[in-house]
Amino acid sequence: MTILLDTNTRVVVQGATGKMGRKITKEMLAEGTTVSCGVTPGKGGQDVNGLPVFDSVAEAKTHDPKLNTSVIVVPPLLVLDAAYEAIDAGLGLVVIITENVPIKDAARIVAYAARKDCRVIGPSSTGVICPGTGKLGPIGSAKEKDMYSPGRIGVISKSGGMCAETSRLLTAAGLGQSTVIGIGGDVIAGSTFADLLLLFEQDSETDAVVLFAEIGGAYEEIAAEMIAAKKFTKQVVAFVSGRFAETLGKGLALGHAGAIVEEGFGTAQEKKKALKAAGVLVADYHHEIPALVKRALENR
Amino acid sequence: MKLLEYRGKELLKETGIKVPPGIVTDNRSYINLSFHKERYRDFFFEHKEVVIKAQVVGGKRRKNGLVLEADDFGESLKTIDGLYNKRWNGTPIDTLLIEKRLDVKAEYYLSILWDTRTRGPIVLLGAGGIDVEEGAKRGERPVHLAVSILDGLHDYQARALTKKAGFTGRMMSSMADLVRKAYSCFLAYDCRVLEINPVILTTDDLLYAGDAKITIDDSGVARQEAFKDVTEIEDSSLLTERALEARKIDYHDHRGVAGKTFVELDGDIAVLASGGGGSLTVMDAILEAGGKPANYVEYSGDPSKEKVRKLTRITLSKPSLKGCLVVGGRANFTDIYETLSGFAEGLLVLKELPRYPIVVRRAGPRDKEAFAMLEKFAKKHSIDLTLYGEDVSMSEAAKIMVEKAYGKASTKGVAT
Repeated sequence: MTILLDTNTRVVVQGATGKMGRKITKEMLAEGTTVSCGVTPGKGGQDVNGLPVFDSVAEAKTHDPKLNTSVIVVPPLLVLDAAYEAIDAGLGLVVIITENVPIKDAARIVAYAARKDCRVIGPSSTGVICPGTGKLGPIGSAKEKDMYSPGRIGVISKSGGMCAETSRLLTAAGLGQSTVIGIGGDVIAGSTFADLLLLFEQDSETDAVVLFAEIGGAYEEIAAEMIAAKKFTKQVVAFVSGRFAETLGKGLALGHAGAIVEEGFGTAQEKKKALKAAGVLVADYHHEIPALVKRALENR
Repeated sequence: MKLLEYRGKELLKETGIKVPPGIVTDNRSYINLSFHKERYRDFFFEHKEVVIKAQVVGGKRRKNGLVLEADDFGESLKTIDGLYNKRWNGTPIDTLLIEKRLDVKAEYYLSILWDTRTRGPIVLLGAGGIDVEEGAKRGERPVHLAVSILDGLHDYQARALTKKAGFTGRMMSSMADLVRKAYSCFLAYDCRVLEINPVILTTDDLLYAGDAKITIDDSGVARQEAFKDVTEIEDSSLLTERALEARKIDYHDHRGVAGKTFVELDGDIAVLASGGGGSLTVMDAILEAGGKPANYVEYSGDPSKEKVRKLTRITLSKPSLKGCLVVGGRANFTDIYETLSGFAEGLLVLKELPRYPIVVRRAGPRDKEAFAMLEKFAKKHSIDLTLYGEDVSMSEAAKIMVEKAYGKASTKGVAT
């Protein structure tokens, strides 16, 4: 078992006819994911990788009533509409790959999805991969054997690139991954560390979870609180990046829109402290992660 | 994007919030031109007491002598001249907002921002005004209200908030009205933060925005007519020319991110990093290895060759560099050949080709082609270029860069 993605997953790609849409459709198919069709308003009737393209998600749903997941790669200002469309079509999971989505739109999507019982990953997600089962979005491939490999470690990362880098280190140390999720580094995240830890808690195939955390916001602190409250009882290893950014002062967003130190909270030191206090093993250097995971597994 | 006070006040006024009567002087000569002097004279004698406020971003302007008062016309002209002779963060002051001085009965603090706990907007309202940080030290905390972005801010919720903050009777309702207007302004203009500090209650019981600190969400700028020419209203005192230039790369070209956040640092190793998380991890590693980065900048999301070329030219335009590190983890979908071609083209448009060492650590789609191209390029132009793939970790590459830049022999087998 894995989280978010399994053999029942059936995907529609919103924005399928664009450069990114075509690319990820091909990649997801190659990875073993069931991609059912694509949607691009006005381009209904075309095809992408031999898959039909529809004008709307509702039409896609008629084509494939078992459709349950959308991967969104439309331009930033069109994401709000695309996500609402997917949610209203009754899909249970919406993964937003697009970057630069306005905060206001992200907040609307997240609130609306919660009301309609839909899970959102992103915006600015690099995707989700369950090595050996499939993937959603451009996240990479388990076919590159040195990067993602099947196993029992979950990874949740604010950084897309560091999903790959972190998994590569784990794989090199013989630690395969159950599910790797890029949650994006935006101010408003559809799924936070805490949200996904709850899923990993239920997943019998996951023994420990690695968090790639970052300065800014309160998502790390919230995760620490839920771990301290024993709502997540498996082992957690975390790395918090952005110490450098703190030398620069307040109010500057670095790398990710959410990586901003405002009003004295959200610093790397405070996050590390909160996580450590909750019993999380915190790596000072990124490359220490595999060793800490091994130690955490021995601690069980 | 941070707006200057007078720009922020324009938005507030647009939404129906009262701002003090005022005039804006765009540059030094403005006030000296007879026409404008005439206009200012009329303004002064209409209001008789004025507050002259230098337009710079950043708090504590009053403490820094950038907000001054005058009740004599001749004195006020001297004050204006005095402010124009000041500098702020090394940049001359070029805009003043001159306002009628209000008769203040009380001051309050109002702020609206995005809260990562509720994942929605939150309104903070407190007594005191101005020195919120001092107030916080005394244990005074503003009251807050999390707003449902779907349902909006209802009047009764705004009234409950203002009552909680200590307002009663008619004041409870008029403050609630101001909160509602500020909230609609916050949403309408894609604000990231909207702060009015102080909200001024005058002796005739009217509420005014005494100041406006508004930050616009960079991702919302593209759909805001009001910010068409973005850099014009950017606070130039916070951003260097290079940073402003770098930021412009992304406007109106939404594929990928390049230069959105360019931070000028006082070191000598130029950095072109990829990936939000990776770039921060690398900056931490450079410092760890004893290096001094010349800048922070990040590009990712498969930007075009043109964007990387522009970013390279801007980043390496700094004199006396000792090294350049191009670094990123394994890209998922960023075309390494295209982006590194942009890097090579950027080197060619520099005033002179770099004679300092360049270290590239990169992997991802078309990386082999990219490395072959760069090797040939380096040979042709005699550039000291070292290429690494994933066999060298990001932090190791940062360490090697630091050693090459400062002339130490390259150490093999650095622990990663």
